[in-house]
Amino acid sequence: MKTKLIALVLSVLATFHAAAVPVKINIQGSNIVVRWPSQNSQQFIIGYRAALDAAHPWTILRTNYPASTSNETVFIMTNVVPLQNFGGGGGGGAGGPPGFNAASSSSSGSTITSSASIAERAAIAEERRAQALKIIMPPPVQATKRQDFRVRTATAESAVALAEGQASAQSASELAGNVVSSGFFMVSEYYEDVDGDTLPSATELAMNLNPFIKDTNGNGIDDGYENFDGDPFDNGTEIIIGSDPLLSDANPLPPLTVGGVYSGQYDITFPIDANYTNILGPMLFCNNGVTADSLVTTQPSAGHLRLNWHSVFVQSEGNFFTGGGGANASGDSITLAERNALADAFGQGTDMDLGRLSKPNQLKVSQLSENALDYYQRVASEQLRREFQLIQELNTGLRQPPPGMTAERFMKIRLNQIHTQFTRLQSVNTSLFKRFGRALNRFLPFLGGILIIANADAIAQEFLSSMQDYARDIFFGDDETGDAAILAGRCNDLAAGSGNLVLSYLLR
Amino acid sequence: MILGYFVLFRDGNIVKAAYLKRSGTWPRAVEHSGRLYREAGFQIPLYNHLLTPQRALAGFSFNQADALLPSRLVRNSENIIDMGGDGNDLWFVLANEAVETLHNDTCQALTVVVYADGHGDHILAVPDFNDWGQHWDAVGFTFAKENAPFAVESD
Repeated sequence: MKTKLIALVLSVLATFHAAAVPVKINIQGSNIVVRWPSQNSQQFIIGYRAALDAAHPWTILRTNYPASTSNETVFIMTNVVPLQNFGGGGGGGAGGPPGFNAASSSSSGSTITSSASIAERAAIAEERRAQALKIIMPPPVQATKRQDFRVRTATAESAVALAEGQASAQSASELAGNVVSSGFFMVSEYYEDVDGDTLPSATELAMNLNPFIKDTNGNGIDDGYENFDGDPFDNGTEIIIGSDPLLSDANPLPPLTVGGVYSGQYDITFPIDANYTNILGPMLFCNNGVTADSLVTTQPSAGHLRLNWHSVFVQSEGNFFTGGGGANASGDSITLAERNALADAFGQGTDMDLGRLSKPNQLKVSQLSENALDYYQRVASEQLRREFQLIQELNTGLRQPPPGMTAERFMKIRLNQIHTQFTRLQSVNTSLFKRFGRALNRFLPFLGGILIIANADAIAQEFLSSMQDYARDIFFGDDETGDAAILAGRCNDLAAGSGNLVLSYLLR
Repeated sequence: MILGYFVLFRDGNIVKAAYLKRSGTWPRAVEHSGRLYREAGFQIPLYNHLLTPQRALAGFSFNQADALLPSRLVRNSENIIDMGGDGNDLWFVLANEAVETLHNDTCQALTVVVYADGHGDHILAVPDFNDWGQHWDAVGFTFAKENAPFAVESD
């Protein structure tokens, strides 16, 4: 979890570390100094409440508090400590403050939300989001997405319950001693949904809502389920689909009406070659969590290759393929000798009209220089990225087939070239891994995401599922670590040693 | 083995092709209309062949050729079509054929050498090697005989 959810009761000159996120707090005169670990470029929202009762709701002290350039950010709240109460020795609370242990959260004394209300809220979420989910995700994903949403909501509520409950218990015990509670702080990253109402904190601030209160106006409806503009979609849904929750629109889905899920299938019939095994499996793309494409190859019968492709498009504004950081292969040059060796190893590309398949000669590829292999990784990666971009834009209406060419013909060129580069990249990667212990690293940067190639349909489906889980995590900005680890594990199964590489990339 | 190169150059507002017989590596530079074109420092990594219905060579499709988009070769030539809109599928149609009739063989052949004159114009050298060990004997366009670029081996 990225959220640094901190509810602190102040003890006299106390300095402590929470279990998961080390937090320091101390008092300097009448000021409270709060410190927490951070990274440059992060922004935080800082909330405060003087007491845990209805008369003292969370108030926002800072809405976009920047992280310091060091690895620790400091916030000072002035003139809040009642100095007259610091009279008796600096002992602090008996037993010291408990750490923030999620495992103990459910037992914390809390008046926040029972598990029944969480389930009820999740059910409401399912119902209210069904319409949007039909548009932006395929059916199998919808179910998982809703489940993910439930978990996420519960997690956020538990965190609040933990923090407040813990603070309350500590406050009660310590007030009996020589300690004064001067209030409670909550620090959240700018784009987190810290109160679990499905709206990111930044969005809530823009809507004049309180990012630390689920139901800002107290009408019994969480902020994400309100429908301020009266159009067919609640606030949370509008955030997901990219429309304005404060602007009523009979059709609030302009970016997504041209999106959705697009699937297609092409078949190639080719002469059977006993000496060649077709590379089957998916190619998965995830671009900043807003798109996910896949091309799955299967062989229904000998001499028959089927390409199935699926394109999920949930954001159309801007160029979602930017930021990949991939190499521009056109900036590279190779020698004639390297060129000839590569051409000899790869042979012809796929032409489904002619029944011709790309069949790299693995033996020859394995004899290529590392420089040549590296070069072609960049070339193939870049070409794959471009081909999928063309397909995506064609499917979503951002692009029309060029003059004189039907969409099907244009698409066939794209798929021919994808299959060619797919097979070549797989071959190059195999060689790099066997000879140099390197694989997948060139797959990773070019998409701003990840590309996985598997050689069995079952593995392909597992990857697809893992990738979709991970994509959803990115989309919601939550719980990225777990699914990233699963994804990395699956990569490691395919290419031993790649797991750490993948994980470090995904979590960078 | 490469037997030669199709040399694509701009003649007014038309891209034409000449043929440069050459079994070894590509020239370090070419000269055309009194201008010296040196290797540009980048190559086009992938290309395909455009074929007539009779399967004669009619032109080329270049991938990852966006670096050429600002070139006068592309901007000023009427028989170049940016099919992908971003230089990723740049068609050089050399035969007198309609686009509708052309077949892109998607062979994904390797390495087009780019030469630059330093003034915004470029010349391309495309290997005459169809990746299955043969040179093209069915060509659906006419090679330029006059004012064709020629190789320059030394400065």
